[in-house]
Amino acid sequence: VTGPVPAFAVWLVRLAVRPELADDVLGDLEATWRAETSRWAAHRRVFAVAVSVAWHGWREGRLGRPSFRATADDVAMAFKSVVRRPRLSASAALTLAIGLAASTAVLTMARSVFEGALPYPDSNNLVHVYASWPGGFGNLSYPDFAAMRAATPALDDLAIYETWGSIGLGGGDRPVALTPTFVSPRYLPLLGATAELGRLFDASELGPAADGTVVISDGLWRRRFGADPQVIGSSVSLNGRPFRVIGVMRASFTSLTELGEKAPDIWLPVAAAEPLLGQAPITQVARIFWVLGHRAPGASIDLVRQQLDAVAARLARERPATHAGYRLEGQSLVSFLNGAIERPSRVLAAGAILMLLIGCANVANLLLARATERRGEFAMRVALGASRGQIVRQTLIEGAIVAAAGGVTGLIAAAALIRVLAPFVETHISPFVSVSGSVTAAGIAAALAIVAALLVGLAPAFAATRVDLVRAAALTGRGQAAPGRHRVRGGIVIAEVAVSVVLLVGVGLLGRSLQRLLTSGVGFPTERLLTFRMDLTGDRYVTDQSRIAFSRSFVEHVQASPAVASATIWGPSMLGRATWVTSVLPEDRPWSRPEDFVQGSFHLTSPDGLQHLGIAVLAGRDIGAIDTPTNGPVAVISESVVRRFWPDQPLAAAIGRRLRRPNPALPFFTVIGVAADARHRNRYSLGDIAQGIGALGLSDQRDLYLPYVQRPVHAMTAAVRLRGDASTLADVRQAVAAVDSDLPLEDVQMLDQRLAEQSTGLRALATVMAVFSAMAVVLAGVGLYGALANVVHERTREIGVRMALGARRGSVRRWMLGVGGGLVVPGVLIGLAIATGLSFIVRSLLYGVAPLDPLTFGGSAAMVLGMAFIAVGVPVARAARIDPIVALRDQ
Amino acid sequence: MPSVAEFELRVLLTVLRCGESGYAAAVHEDLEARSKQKTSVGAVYVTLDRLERKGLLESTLGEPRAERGGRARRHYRLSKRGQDAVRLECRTMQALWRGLGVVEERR
Repeated sequence: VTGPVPAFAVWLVRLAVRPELADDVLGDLEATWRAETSRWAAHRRVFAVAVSVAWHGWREGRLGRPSFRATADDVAMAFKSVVRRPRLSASAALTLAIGLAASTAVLTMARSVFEGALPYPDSNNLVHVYASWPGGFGNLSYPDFAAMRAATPALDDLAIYETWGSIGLGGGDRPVALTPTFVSPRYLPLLGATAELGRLFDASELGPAADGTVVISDGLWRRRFGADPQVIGSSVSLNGRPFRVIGVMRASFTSLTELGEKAPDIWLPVAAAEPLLGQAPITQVARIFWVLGHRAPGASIDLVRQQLDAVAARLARERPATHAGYRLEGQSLVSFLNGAIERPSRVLAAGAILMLLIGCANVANLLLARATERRGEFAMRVALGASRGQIVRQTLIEGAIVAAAGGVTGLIAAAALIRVLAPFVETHISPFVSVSGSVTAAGIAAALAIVAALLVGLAPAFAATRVDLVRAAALTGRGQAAPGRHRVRGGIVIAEVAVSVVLLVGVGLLGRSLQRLLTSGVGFPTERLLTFRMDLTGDRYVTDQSRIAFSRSFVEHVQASPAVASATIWGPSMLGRATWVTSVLPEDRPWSRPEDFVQGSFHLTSPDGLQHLGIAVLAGRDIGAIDTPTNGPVAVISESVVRRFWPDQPLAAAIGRRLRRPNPALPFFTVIGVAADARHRNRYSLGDIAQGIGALGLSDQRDLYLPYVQRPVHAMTAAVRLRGDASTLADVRQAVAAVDSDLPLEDVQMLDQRLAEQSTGLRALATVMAVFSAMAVVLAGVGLYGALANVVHERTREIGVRMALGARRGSVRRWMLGVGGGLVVPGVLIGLAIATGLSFIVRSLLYGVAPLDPLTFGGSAAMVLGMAFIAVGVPVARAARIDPIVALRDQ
Repeated sequence: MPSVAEFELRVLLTVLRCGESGYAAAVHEDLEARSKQKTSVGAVYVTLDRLERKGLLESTLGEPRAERGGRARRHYRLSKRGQDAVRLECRTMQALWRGLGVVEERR
């Protein structure tokens, strides 16, 4: 084994024995260290020798250094003194341990969230760009991307991509639905993707005009092609067009998809979007792409943003019709992916620091209590010739023992907590976070806690030695605290109460907000609602007529099944996750500015769709059979759309009005009905939250319901209300098979289950929060008990005197509760004041809860008061029961 | 004449036996081998040091050695007083053992 002998072993030897001997021992250690072949064995042997030498050196005393001997005595004495008051010591060590465990775990998690763990090369320099405009945000168009590419030197590499739509593989009557990602040349290289087999695209295959090649995922390759290497170079049919398979993506490649979203099965050149999905040519203005960029060396994210601002400003100037108020927003890829949990993590981290503070306050409290109690003892020792330094040292050692006990326990608990937390966070909150305990971080937290505890403890230690010898000795050595001491102790109790209140208010607000999020309904009954997707992509469904005929036949057959209460065509988005949007504006409004348009989700339904789903029609009528392919287009709009356009008029006023779309070539919608708001967007979309605009699923619900027959798209979803449970699924399949025996039902799931899955991440976060809050409550409780019980304990003698002088137990109790209340009530008030000031910081994180939510504030205050009452009440009751004579004699 | 404790006597005898190579590690090894008992290495170091301070052992530094990180070895040998002490101890013990028949004796 090479390298130096571990410093700790060297230190131990030098500490224990005189320098001449130490040199000899260290020489032997060095020889042993070098002679061993395994590091582990070398460590073991060297430490065995060092510990043995230290032990014998200490026992030797006369030979060992005198100071070491003295320190050992001090430690032994401090130990005795710590053990003499087990409850006090344990309470201090425990609160420090809890504070340290929770804060280390939470800080570690927060750090992991901020840092992210992206499985991409040089991921710290990857930038994600999206567009925003008044009233919305979203993708960029190809021309925007082209304009940007020319004018952002701060980004030395740029790509566009979009995972979107569905493509049928295999042609014929029974295609398999695949999720495609459309990419530009630099996208895959930027993410460090490599082929497992074959190759990825080269630049010539990805130009705006090229298509015809496809890269398939490892999963698809195994599932569909039996992992046959011959697939490379073969031709496959995608939506009826031939594509050549050029490569299989490496299995470990992680695509840029949100948790819960389907990862792509195939990668295609952006140009393929046009023929495959019926998109406008990508060179036109359709905003369908995200942009991924790489920061040039030395370019800061601020520089990137400046350049993006300049590009956007130029676009807005040159193309006012489409780009007024347009902005390009850049953010690091990490915060794009983890943005939603970044802010809650920040609040949690702040809470963790508060918890650490409480833990420290407890250790300081213990030191103060001890110092106060032992004033007499210290005075006696000083009188007998002990130096003040010695006494301070001993007091500090006592603090160190308690802090070390709490620290070690806390770190072990933190390690366990992180071990549980890590897989939990990665599975449920974000795949782009890797929570790993860092020894450095834990060490820093522990060191901070211990140093803080000792620093706070120093003052009382010094105070303890500044005693009036005569007076102290006269006080029979114990029990009486000087008034000044009370002020310091009182200050700490007040601070502790205040911090507890702030902590509880903080976690309370976030907790209530999460609870509100999780319990907010979608606005219609979701029970027994089976949802699935059908892609009408085969040869059979080329014409509009064929798809319209299918939709009618589908509803008729499925509805006829005894297991089914109602069947509705929905789509093109899946119910519970609306992603298709359109923009509308009343025809009589000026439309010079694009922001005048309102963006809403649209849903294509079969007749009586709203009634089947249970969404109330507030005015006008539902989509009906009278809405034919030719007599439209008509629309039912949601209440929020009406309120936006005609805020002062009754809902019925909207009926018969006409809505225009930004593309002047498209016909106007005629409003035939107004529906109650229902939540169709993903309520907890991390993507929405990451943009900092609040989840769209939670704000005003702007929706348009259109007859499917007037817009018969290929991507169709269905909502079937069952009479029984999901076991009747077979009946539904049978009914669909009667219409088209070859049509596969994709992504079959009950809506309830779908919605529950959407909230997984949020629930997981809520769980972390709940555990954290529970720890905070326990910590605050234990801390308050320790601090207040001590205040009471110290006054036991005074209680004895009062009772000996004739005070009744009731009045003693009242008096002590008054003393406790004098500390707790100001603490609570200060805490509430601070919480009020801070609550506006978390405002943006709250949903459905006011920043000054009286229930949370009141509840937190009540909880702290309750804990304080118990903390004062128990020792007071005990003190009031004791015999005054005993109390006086004992003290 | 300073008193010699039992472990100290063992160490003194082992140093005597080791002769030229009377340094701590060798003493420890020899002591364990001959006494067939596990002995704490720290105790050997500390005892050697103590015996030197009592004047029963003398020590000299050898050549600096690379494998010891450039440190020299401390070689111990019995001082005049150490030899006297061992001899005295031996005589005392023999006198005490004699005639008890616990171990074989040669007259």
